[in-house]
Amino acid sequence: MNAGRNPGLTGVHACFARRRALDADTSFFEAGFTSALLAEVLEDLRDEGFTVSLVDLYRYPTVRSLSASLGFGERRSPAAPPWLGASRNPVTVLSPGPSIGSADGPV
Amino acid sequence: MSRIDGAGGPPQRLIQRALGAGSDHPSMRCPFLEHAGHRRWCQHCGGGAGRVNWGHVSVGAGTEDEQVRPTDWFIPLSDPDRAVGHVCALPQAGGGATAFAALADELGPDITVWALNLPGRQARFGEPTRTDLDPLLDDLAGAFPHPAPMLLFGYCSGALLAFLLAHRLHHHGHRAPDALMVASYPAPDRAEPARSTHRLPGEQFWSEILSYGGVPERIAAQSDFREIFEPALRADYELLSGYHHRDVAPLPLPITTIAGAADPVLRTADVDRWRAHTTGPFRSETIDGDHWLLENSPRRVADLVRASLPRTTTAPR
Repeated sequence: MNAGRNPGLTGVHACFARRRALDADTSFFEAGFTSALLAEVLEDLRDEGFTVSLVDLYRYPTVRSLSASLGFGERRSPAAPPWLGASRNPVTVLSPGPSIGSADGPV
Repeated sequence: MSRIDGAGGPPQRLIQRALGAGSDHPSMRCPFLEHAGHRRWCQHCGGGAGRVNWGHVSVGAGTEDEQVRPTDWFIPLSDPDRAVGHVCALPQAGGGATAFAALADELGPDITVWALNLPGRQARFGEPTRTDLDPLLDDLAGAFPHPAPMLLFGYCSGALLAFLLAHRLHHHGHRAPDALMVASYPAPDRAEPARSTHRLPGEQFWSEILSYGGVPERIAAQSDFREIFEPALRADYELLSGYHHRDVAPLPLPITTIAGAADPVLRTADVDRWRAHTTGPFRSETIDGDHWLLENSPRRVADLVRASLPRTTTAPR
């Protein structure tokens, strides 16, 4: 995830990942974060000093996009299904054909 | 009844691009592209037999490198390639795909839950909601996941939607599910969907919704929770507000009902009435719990799903 190079993203990621496994590009909703769980995460994020509201978690539904919205910018890649796991390199496209999505991530 | 486990919201600055049907892969990046063997089941890529309307919604709008992200009508909550059984699950009013997260956790990895992903909430936050029943049923029938064996599961008012979808699939030549399971809802001819809740003014609307007990305190404490959830809730109430049961032939698939013993609004006779809607086997299960069985008793519900999912199917994939 290269999260270590981006302390802000790492901090945001930790608030989510301690409840359910997900990587930085997985949609919270595909990773099974219910609204109740997101409300808990929200409290943690605020405790960590992030200025964030509940609706932000819906507008920016991945760790990476949320982090970017909070000013911890990084090039983003498409949301991945949760079972891909956090250990994989992000966006190693196997057979994408034309690399249309290359603007979105470090392909 | 309803829980706010969906999230509806105003379009905000999110950009929705309704590309309609047939966006050809790989001209758009499939979200499951990296998943080994995904072409066998992936509906984007045609492997799942049915093409779907592949809406595209941009998330994280407002930043420079705007990202185009595909959304879909059904989200598999675990790896479908590893599964030997499948559940297509329709949530309560206002609900999103995560309504089935706990159930999917109990059922995985050998059974995959394909959770309905309606617009106006969660993964499709910012997309316009849907309030017309017939066209929506057509879209859901066209996008219905094809793996087998498949159990169609409807929770609360999602049970009525599941019943109507089963009929649509059966009568329009689609591959129909192998079984139907409905939880916390009366039979279609006994259902009385709210006629005007979706038109109540804000305060009255929310006092009605909150009275159902489906809103976690932590959520209600957030200043922006109404803005997030109200559009999806109103849309789902409106969707069924005009429903009047018409006599239709019983479905040729097994039906299992689940009811909470302490459900304050569900009458046993209305649940047993589901029996009239199948020509196949009928089972009625009452379990400990109130109306919100998925949230409070997911393990028990999962056990019943396992028991009701056909072991084998003679129908071709």
